Amino acid sequence: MLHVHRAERADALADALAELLVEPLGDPFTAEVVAVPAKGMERWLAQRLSHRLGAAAGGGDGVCAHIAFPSPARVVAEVVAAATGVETEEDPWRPARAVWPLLEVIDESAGEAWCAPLGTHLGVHDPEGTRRGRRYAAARHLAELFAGYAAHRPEMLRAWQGGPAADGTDADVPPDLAWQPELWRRLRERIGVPGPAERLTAAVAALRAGPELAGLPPRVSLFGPTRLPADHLAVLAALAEHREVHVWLPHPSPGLWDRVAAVAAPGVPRRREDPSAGTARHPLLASLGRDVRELQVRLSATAASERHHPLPAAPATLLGRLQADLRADRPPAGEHVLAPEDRSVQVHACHGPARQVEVLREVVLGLLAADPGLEPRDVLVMCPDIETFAPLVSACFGLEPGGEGVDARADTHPGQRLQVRLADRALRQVNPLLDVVERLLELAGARLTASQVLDLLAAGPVRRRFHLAEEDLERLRELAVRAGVRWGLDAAHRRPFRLDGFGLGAIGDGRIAPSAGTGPGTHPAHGLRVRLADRALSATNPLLALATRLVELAGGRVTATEMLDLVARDVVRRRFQLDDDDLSRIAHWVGESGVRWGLDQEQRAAFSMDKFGHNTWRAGIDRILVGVAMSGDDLRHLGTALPLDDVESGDVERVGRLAEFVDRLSAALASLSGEQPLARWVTALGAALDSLTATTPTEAWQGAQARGELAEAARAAGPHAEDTPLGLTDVRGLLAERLRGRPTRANFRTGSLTVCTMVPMRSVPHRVVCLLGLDDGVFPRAGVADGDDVLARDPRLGERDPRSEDRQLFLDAICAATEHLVVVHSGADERSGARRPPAVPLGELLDTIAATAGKDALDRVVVRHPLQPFDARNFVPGRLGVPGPFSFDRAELAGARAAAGVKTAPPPFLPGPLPPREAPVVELDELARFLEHPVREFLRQRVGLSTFERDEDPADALPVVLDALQTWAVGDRLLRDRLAGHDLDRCRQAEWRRGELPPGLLGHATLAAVTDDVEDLVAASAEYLTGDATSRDVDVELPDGTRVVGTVGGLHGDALVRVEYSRLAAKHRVRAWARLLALAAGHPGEPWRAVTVGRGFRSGISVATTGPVDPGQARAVLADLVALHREGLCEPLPLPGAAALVYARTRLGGGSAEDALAEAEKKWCGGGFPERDDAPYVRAFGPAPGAGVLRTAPRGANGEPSRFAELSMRLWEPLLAAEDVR
Amino acid sequence: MNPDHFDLFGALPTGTTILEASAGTGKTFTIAALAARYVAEGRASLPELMLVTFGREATQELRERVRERLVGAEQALRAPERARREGDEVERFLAEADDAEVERRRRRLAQALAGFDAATIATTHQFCQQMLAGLGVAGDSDPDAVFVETIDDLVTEVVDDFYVRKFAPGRAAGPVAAPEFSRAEALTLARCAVGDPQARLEPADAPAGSVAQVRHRFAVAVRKEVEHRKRTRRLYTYDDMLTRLQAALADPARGAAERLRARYRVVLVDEFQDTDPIQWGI
Repeated sequence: MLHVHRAERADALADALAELLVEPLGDPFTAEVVAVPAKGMERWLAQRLSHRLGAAAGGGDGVCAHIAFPSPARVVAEVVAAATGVETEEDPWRPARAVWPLLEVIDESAGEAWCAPLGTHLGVHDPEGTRRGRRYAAARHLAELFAGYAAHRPEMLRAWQGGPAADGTDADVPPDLAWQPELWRRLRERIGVPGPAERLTAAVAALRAGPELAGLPPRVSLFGPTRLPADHLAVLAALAEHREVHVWLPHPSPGLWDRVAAVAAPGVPRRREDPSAGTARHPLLASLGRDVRELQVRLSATAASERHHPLPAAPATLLGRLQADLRADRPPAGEHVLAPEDRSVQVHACHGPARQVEVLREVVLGLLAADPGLEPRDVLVMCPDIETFAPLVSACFGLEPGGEGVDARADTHPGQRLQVRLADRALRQVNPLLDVVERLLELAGARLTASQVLDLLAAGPVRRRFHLAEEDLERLRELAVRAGVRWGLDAAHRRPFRLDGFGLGAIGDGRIAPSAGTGPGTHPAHGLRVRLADRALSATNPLLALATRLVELAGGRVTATEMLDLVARDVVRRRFQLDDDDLSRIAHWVGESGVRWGLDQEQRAAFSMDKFGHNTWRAGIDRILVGVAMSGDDLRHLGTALPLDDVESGDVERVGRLAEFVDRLSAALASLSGEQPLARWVTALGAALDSLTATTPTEAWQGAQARGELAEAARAAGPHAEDTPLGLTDVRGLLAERLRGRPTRANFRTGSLTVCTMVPMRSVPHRVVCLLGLDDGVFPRAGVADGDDVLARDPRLGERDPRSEDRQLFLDAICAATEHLVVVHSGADERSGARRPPAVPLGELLDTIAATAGKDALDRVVVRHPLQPFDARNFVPGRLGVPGPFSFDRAELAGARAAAGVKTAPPPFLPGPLPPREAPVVELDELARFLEHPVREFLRQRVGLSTFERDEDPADALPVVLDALQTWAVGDRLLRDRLAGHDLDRCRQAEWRRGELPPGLLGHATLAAVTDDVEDLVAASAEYLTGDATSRDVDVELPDGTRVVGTVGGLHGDALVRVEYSRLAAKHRVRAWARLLALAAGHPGEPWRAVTVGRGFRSGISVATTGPVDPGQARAVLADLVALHREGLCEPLPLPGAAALVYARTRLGGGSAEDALAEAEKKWCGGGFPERDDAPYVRAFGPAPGAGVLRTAPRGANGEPSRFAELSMRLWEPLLAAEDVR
Repeated sequence: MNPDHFDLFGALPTGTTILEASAGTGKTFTIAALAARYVAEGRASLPELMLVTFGREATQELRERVRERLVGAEQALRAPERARREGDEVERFLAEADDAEVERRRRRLAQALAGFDAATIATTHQFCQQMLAGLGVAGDSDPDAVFVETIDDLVTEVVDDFYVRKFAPGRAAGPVAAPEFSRAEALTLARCAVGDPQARLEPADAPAGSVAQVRHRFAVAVRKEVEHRKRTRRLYTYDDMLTRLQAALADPARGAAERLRARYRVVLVDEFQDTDPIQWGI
C-alpha cells in the first residue's frame, strides 16, 4: 500500500513519522528505512526523531537509532539492482562510467553523416583541433541526458531501442536531435548490458512477483520529496504491492491539494495540457508551486490512502497571514492590518553582494538581541549562489578559511618534544617572560618600528597570548609591510619626534584589524558561530585547488607572474621551505635575471617561439645558478649564462630551492601534456602534488582527500581509464566537475548558524529563515532550456525544470519560516546607484504582500539600505526598519560619527617649520644629494619617508621595444662597464645575455644606437680620464664650527671627473659643485676642477667644467650651502632643480625677474614631464602643485621677488660664475 | 498599415514593423502594451515573445514595465465592467470583449505572470548568450568558457610573438634595415583587425614584397592566431557571441534557425538604431 502523508511543514510530518516508527518492526534486526533526499534534512530529521523515539513520556530524551537514511535514488537503485542483479556501484550506465564507452562511440561516429551536428561541434573537419577538447564535456553532458531520459521517460528509451519507426524517426525526437537515438543505440550496443529503462521493466515485474527480492523491511518511508521521476514512481508503486510505503510530502496548501485532486486524472499529460495548471487561486501558489502540484498529479495514480497532518494555526503576523492564505489557497483579500511591531517579513534592498552580507549580519544580530531565547541554530541562511557569497560571509562573520572556526594548529616536529636542558643561561634567556619585560622597557620611548613590534609579537609568550601560529606571524609581517607600516604607533606617538603631522606609515594607519574577539573594536558578529555548508572542494582543499591550477598552467605560457604566484601558495612554499624573505628575494632574482615566460626553449614550441630561448625560466635559473659560483663583475659568461650579480653566499640554499621548484614544475607540466589515458593523467597529477606540496600534520587530510578524489575519478572510468585518450581540456572539465560542491551531513545542525544553498534544508522549519542574494538574473536560474534535451522540447508533467525547481524552493522557504522571513537582495547597483528590480519571484512576494496588507505595508516591509555601512542612517533609531539603531558595528559607528562631526580641511603637510637639527658634522654625500633634490631629501633625511616607488610586478612579456627608461638602463650599464675598462665586445656580449634587450635583430638596432652614444661619451671623456682614479678624504671646518666630511672619488689628477649616460642636467652639475667646493676648501693649494660629461640636450656631448675655485671663496660658498641644507631639513624648500637653473640663467643673462619666473614656471608646470609631477613635490605641496609654489613671499635676502627666486640665485649664481658648459 | 502613424490598438503587426520615435514619446510604453496584447489575445504565449533592448539598464526597465503592465491588466480584467469604465486605454481596450473572452484573456495574463522569468527580455548580447546555451551542440559554445570584456592582453601577446618571430631572426652583419612597421603600428593594426571581425582585410592583392602586403599578411595571421588562442583558453567576447550565433543560424545542417523560429513568434526590438549588421542578421 502506498500512503501519502502531507503537511505544510516538515515538522508535522516528522512528528507523524515518529508516531509511525514508535511501533517497532517485527524483526528487531531489520533497520527502518527512511529515504531522505537532502543531507541537511536528514540530519534534522534524525535529531527530531530522537525527541520522540525511545523517549520517556514528556522527556524528549530519546534516541534515533537503527534507522537508515539513504537517498531515494539509492533506494530505487538498490531495489532495481537486487531485482536484476546489476550492482549499483558497478552499473556501467551511471553517467560517470557511461561517459567512457560513450566517448569511444562518439570518436567512432562523429565523422558519419547522421552524426553531423555533433561532429561539427567536436570539430571533426576542423583543422585547428581546438574543438576536439570538447569531447569529454560533450560526452559527459550526453551521458547525463541519457540518464535523465531513463529516469523521466523510460518508455521513450524502450521505444528507441526497438529502432527507428518506418519513416526513420524516433519517438518524441525533433528532427534536429535525430542523431541522439542512433548514438544511444550504439552506446547500448557498446555497453552490452541492459540500460536502466530496460532494467526498470524487469525490476518492477520481479518485485510484483517476488517481494522478497528487494532487501527492504516491510515498512519503507520516503521523506520530503518535491519531485519524483518516473522510475522512482514505478519502483515505489511496485514496492507498495507487498509493503507499506509511506511518502511524506511537504505541501504548502491543503486547499490547493483538494482542488487539484478534483481535476487530476491518471496518465502523464504533457505540461502544456496540464489539467491542473489553472487551479491555484493564490498567486504565489500559481507561480511558485508547480513542482508540488505536478507531483500530486503524478502520485494520484498510485496512492492508496492520503492523510493530512495539520499544523497549529499560523500566528497573527504578516508572515502567518501569508502562510494561512497559502494553506487555504485563497487570494489575499487586502484587509490584513500590519501591526506596528510586526517585522515577521523583512525585505532588504542593498547595494551589491558585499553590502547584502553586512546587512544580513546586522539583521541577524538584531533578531538575536531582540529575543534572548533565539539561538544561532534557529537561524538558517540560504543562498542560491554560495560560491560568490562564501568569502563575503567568511569575512563579515570573521571565519577562518574553510568556513569554520579552526583551532590553533599543533605543527610540531616530534624531536621538539624531547626534554633538553641547558644550564647557566641568563635569566632572560631562561624565562621568556622576563625577556618580554626587558624588551618592553626598551620599546618604551622608542620609535616602534614595524620590525620591533613584529619581533615582540613573535616572542613566545606574546604569541601564545594572541593565539598566533607561525603562518599568522608571516602573514602579519606581510600585511604590515604591504600596509606601509614603518614606525610609530600613530600620529600622536610621533609627537616626541616632532613628526605628528605625518600620520602616514604609522602602525595604526595600516589598518590591521584586530583578530577575532580580542579588542573592543571587533564587530559582535565575529563571536557568532557560523558554518558554511556546500562549498566546492577546490575552495576548501588547497591541494585540489593546486591540481586545478596545474592543469590550467599546462599548455599555457608559464609567465613569471604565474610561477611566482604558484610558488607563493602555502602548500608549495611549505614543500620548498620558503619564507617571505625567500619569496621576495626570489621575485627580485626573477626580475633581475630577465625571466619573462616559458620554461625553456622547447616549451615555447607550442607558441612557435622555440627559436627564442631568451627570458625563459631555464635561462633565468642558469644565470642565478652561475651567479652562485661566479662573480658578475668581470662580465665573463658561461655559455649563454651571464652570472647574476647579487647572489650572496647565504643565498645558496634558497637558490637551490628555487631551482628545484622550477625543475620539478617543468617535469610536472611536461607530464601534463598531449593526449593520454585518464590513468596516466591521474598518476601525473598525483606525482605533481607529491613533488610540489607539503601539508602540516593537521592538514594531512587535504592530501588524503586530494589523492582520493583523483583515484576515484580513475576508478569510475573502469578499464577505459587505461585506453581512452583524453586531452588537456577534457581533463580540466573532468576535474572541475569532480570538485564541485557536495553537501555533507557534517556541516548541518551543529548548533551554529548555518549558511547553505537553497536545497539541503528545504521545508525544514526554522524560527528565522534568511534568503541571501535573491538577485534578478541570478535567481531563479537562467531560464533557457538545454537545447540538447529531448524532454525539454515537449515536457511532461513532473519532469525536471530548473526554473520551476528554484521557484518551488522559494515557496518552501516562505513556508518553513516560523517567526521571521528575511530576504536580502541587491536593490541598487553598487557602482552607479541605479535601482535594480528584485528577482521576479521576490517581486511576486512583494505584490502578494501589497495585496494582503495594502501598498503602505510594503514601505515597512521593504527597507532600502544606504550604500555605506557608515552612513548615519544605520545608527539613527527607527531609520532602517527597526525601532532602535540598525547596525551593531562599532567601527562603522565611529565612522558615522566622524562623518557627522565638524568637517575640517585636511591639515597642511607641515603647519610650520620643524626646529633646526643640531648637526656638528655634515656628510658631504648627504649635502650633495640634498642639493640635487631638496624636497626629496627633506622627506628622506628628516622625515624618514622614501618616495621611491618600484614596480613590484614582474614583467611577463619578452622585451620587444625598449622605452626611454629601459634604454637608459642599458646605456648606463654599458657606459659603466666600458669606463671600468672592459672591451666593447665583451660588454656587448654581456648585455645580450642579461635578457633586457629585445631578441635578435630587434635588439641589435637598440644596442647599436646605445653603443654609438656610449662610445661618443667614452671618446669625449678620454682626455680627462688620465691615469687611475684616486680618491681624497675631505674634512672642512666651517667658520661656525660645523664640519663637512666625506670622501671624494673619481679623481684623475686634479680633475673630479664624472661621466653620465644621462643628458647633462642641473642635478649632475650641482652635485659636482658641492664636491668641488669641499675639495677646494679641504685641500687648498691644488687647482681642483670638476668635469662632468653627459649627453647633450639636443645632440652630441655636453661637458661642464667648473673651477678652479679660490679656497676662501669655496669655504664661504660651502658654508652657505650647509646653511641651505640646514634650512631645507626644517621644511620643504621651493627649489626644484631644473626650474631654479632656468630662473638663474635668465636673470644672469639680463632677463627681468618676471620673465625669469615665467620661464621657470614652464619647467615647473609645462612640457611633457613637468617637474611638479615628481612624487616628493606631490607629497610636500599637494597633488599638481601650481605656480604658487614658485611665488611664495621672499625672505628679503637678495632682493629677488620670491622665496624660490632667492633660493635659485643663492644656489646657482656662484655656480654659474665658476662653470663653463660646452 | 499607415506608415506614418502606428495605431497601438489596430490589428497586431505581423512581418517587420519599425517604429520611429524620439526619446520620451513612450516607445517602452508601446512595447509593454503590445506585449500585453499579444499575450492577452492569445497570439503568442510569454515564452514565445522576445523583447530585445540595447543596454542592461534599459532591459531591466523594460522587464519591470512589461511586468507592471501584465499585473495591472490582469487585475483590471477581474472586474471587466470597471475596467471598461475606469481603466487606462490599454485596459479599456483589453476589456472590450464579451465577458467570457475577457476571462480567457485574464487567465492568459495570469499564466504569463506565473512564468514571467521565462520571458526573454534581454539585451542583444544576453539574448545571444542564452540562445547559444540553449542551442546545445548546435551552438558551438563551451559551457565552461569564460566571458571577457576585452582581449587586449591576448592581442598584445600575439603581436609581440609575431613581431619577434618576423623581425628578430637573423644575424646582423652591418647596419640592419628597420622593420617595415614599428611594434606600435603593429599593435594598432592588430587591434583594428581583431576589433572588427567582420571587416574584410585589404589589400589582399598587394604586390608581393610590398609593405602593404607584409602588413596585410600580418593582420590576417594575427586575427587567426588570436582566434585560435581564444579557443584554446576558452575565452569569448561580446563579438564572439554574436558571430557564433550568426554562424549557427546560417548553417542549415545544425537547424538552429528552425529551433529559434519555433520558439519565438514575436520579436520586439527597442533602440533599433543601435543595432549593427550582424545583430540584424541574427
